[in-house]
Amino acid sequence: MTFVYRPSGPFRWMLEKFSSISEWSLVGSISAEERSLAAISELSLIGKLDHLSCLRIEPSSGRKPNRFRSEIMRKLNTRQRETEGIVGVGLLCTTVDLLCREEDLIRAIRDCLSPCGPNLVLDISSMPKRFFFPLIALAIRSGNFENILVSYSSPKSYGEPLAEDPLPWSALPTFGATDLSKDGKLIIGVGYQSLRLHEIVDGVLNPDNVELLLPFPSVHPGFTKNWEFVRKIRMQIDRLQERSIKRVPAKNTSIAFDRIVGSSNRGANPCKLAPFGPKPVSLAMCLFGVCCQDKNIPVELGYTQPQVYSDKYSVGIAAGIDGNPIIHAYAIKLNGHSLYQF
Amino acid sequence: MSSNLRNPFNVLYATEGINELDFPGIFSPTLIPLVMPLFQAGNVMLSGTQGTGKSMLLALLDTDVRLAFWEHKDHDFPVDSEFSTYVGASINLSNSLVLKFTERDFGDDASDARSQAVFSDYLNTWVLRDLLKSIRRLMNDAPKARLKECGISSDQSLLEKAVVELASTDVCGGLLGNAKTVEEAVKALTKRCQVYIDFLNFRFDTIPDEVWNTITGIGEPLSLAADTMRQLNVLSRKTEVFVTIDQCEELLRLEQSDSTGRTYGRFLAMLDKLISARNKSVSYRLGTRPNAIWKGKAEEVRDYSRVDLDSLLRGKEYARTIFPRLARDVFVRRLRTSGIEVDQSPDVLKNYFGTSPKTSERARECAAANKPERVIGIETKNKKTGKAGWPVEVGHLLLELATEDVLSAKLGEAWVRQNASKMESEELVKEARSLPWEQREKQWWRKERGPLAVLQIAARSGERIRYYGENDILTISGKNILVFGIICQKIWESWIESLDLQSNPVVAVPRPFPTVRQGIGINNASNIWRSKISSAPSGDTLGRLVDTIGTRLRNQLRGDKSMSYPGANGISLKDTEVASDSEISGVLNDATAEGFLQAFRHTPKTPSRGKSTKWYLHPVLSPYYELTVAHTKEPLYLKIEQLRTWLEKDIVVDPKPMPEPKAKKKRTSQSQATLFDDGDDE
Repeated sequence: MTFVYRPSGPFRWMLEKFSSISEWSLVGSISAEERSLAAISELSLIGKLDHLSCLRIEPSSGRKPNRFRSEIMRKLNTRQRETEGIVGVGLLCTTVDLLCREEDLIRAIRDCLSPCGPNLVLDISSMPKRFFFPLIALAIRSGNFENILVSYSSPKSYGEPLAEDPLPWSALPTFGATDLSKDGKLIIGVGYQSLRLHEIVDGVLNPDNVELLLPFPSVHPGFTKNWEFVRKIRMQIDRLQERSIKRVPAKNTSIAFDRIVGSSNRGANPCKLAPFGPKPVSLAMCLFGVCCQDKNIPVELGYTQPQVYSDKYSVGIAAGIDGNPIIHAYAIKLNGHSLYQF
Repeated sequence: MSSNLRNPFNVLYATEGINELDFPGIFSPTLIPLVMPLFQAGNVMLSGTQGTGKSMLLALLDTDVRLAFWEHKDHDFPVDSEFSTYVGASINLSNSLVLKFTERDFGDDASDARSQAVFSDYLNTWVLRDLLKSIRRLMNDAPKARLKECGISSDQSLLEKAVVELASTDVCGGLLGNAKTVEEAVKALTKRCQVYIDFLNFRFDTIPDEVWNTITGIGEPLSLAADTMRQLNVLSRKTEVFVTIDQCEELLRLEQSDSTGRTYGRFLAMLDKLISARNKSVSYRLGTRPNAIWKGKAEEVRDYSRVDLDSLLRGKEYARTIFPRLARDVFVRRLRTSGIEVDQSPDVLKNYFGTSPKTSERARECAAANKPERVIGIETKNKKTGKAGWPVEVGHLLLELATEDVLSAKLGEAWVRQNASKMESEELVKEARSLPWEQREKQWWRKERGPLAVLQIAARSGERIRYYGENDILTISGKNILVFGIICQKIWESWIESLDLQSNPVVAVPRPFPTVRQGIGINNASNIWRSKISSAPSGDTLGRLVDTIGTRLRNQLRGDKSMSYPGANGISLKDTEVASDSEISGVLNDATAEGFLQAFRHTPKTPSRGKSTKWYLHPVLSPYYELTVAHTKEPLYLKIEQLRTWLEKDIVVDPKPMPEPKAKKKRTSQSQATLFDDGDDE
């Protein structure tokens, strides 16, 4: 646990708390998903959007077949026009291939970050982990940003399937590690699709070293998918104990972070983290990874990157009873101090 | 828990922890005589579909595994001491992050060359560290007699001396720094690896000068280390240094997906250089999937020998004996490791699984009881012409026969369908009454169509074919020991689930297992293998490929009422046509390499067709897709365009641009004419 208060809550509420800050920069994405617009619109609406950089992440050109490609491209064009409609001509849009070389990916992220002012919003709503993990790491480590908020908008619903043809397990950009002890912890964020997670689960020597971060509460149909995910892991790790399941609030990054810190015995147990769960939980894993690296503690964050995403990955933007979009915000850096440390 | 309730097949993967498993207890040495090149000097490329035991064999080179055998009271190391004079080191191309160098760009014209240089140096650093750790571990933990057998000194000071000697050389000096002990050497090598990992993690953008200035060529430090250790008597002159480079298929996969937009480092050229160098100091073992085509200077026989586990298990020379022997041995070892007493007998599988049913018995088991009219299709009216169908007497004959021998009746139905249009009614009735399909000269006709008849009986009865018994289990395993293990695991599970432990807490493992439990277990194993497809590289696409072929073939088999094509549980394609369509050959080869399809070279007797390959779904998928298992008669002959049409429709491949109308017309007519080209067995 920690005595550090890590502010999080509705995006609008959070921005109000920073009343002294009149200008925010935002790094987001041009995506087929409608929710990619939510935070941009909100910030623009209150007149505090100073600069917007977007990664336009296109389906991989080297990947065939891709039955969703043409529809995704159409939606990307629509979304870009909508974004330009919100912010005018000031949009900095950097196009990248979903499976581009990490060198190009990091360059694109750096390009997005470089014109941003000291107060930064990183909108991860529609950003694949392959992109948002290094984005968070680079932003936190940059000396250019005083305040960093991460925003996340929920969709009305998710599609089926979400993604296809996952690549083999591989470290996420900037989070590679080797020499992890075989007695280290494997912490898995429970999500909807286990993709090729079996590749690391197969190597588990001691089931007691596995922890599943199960989003709770969770509602149908996500609840069912989460348990199906757990069932698949249990099929591979027969002796998995019930106590391996740790319930974490799906949208509370702070609690998830503390949970991971505890599981790792404050970094004493080297960890391998598999962020397959909700993005706020994945964000906690990412922040834990950054923290470990800064302390020279071996940590690996990996994923089985899908080669193809559905054009209907999600539909719409979830709205509250007031009709406004539900956007969560998490402060990760305040006044130059990182809030997620141990 | 009673030891009988412990599933001996619970843990199936070697990677699931060799230390946790009783590796010496469960390892079967059956294949050892066939893979002896692995334990002799010279480079070896070991290929195998998933489940052929490649990881288990490579594990024998691992120091931990050797120590586990030496400590084991019941199981000796399975390789003769004559071939045990070696020390092993290894690198897994995926886990070591070495492939991540493809993700970085050095930003100049020599970027590829620089990538290759850092790839090589990282690989050298990693393997040298593993080699030193292996030798130190052996010196510390191996019995003296074993060390002597392996030709490794027990004098640690010699190893320290070798480290100092190596650190003073130009080649290894940069890697080892001022190391004077093994510990310091390992530390220096780990530090160098970490520099590379930080570079891969974009913690900095240029390789530090102290690394660039001391970069090593592929394999050079390893050869030098091996030579030095022999000179200083750490290793005897005869002791081989075996370096395993696993997951080479990942490198091949990456380089095969090179495109104009992205290339993948050209690291294969480095491995090619390594094995074509003809340096005798170190021998390399490269683990790959089958169908991996090695494009480089290295030549088979001259630079390396190939050990292809699929060929060994499927080759005609060993096929009849080696897999059943392997399966029996694995079975016995698993049971013994679980505490179940069992004799090593040729009948052990028969004892636990019984005998598989004859075709007639299987037909009876899956036929709807007392409903011959449901199982046998009688044509009372020709649907096309509207004219009268078969003579009534023929219908009565078949239905009556079905009450006694449903298989014969079903084959009779096929015979009538094949002959109805060739004979007048009276002749047909007369001929049918003599049951010509049961005559001796028709025995092959009958044998070839038996499985198809059973499939159609089951389909019309709304039942699934029941598989059980030793022969079914071995056949459905498809010469894949992992599949065999999954089948045993699922049969065990099904049996345990059926027990009423409250009323009868003490249970013995049945001999044989109830056929119902075996059937459920085999069906579950089939479902598991289907679900594994999505876990393979491009698994969703491969899943659609297998679904497409499986579903089409099932429909073909079910719809072939006259049983004219009983071998249509597989497809045959002309080799030149497959080679002309890289997309289709790519997905077929990928599915074969992962063990979801099986490919066999095949020479049809129709001369115009030329060399062909036939593809079948792996036999374990037959229950899932409701296909026949045996490969009899001719497969379904397809033109590549026909297969492409199927695959485009099911989004396995992207549509090709439409051809010119004239050309299109020509192709269509050709494909129609040869769709069921009646070739012959190879």
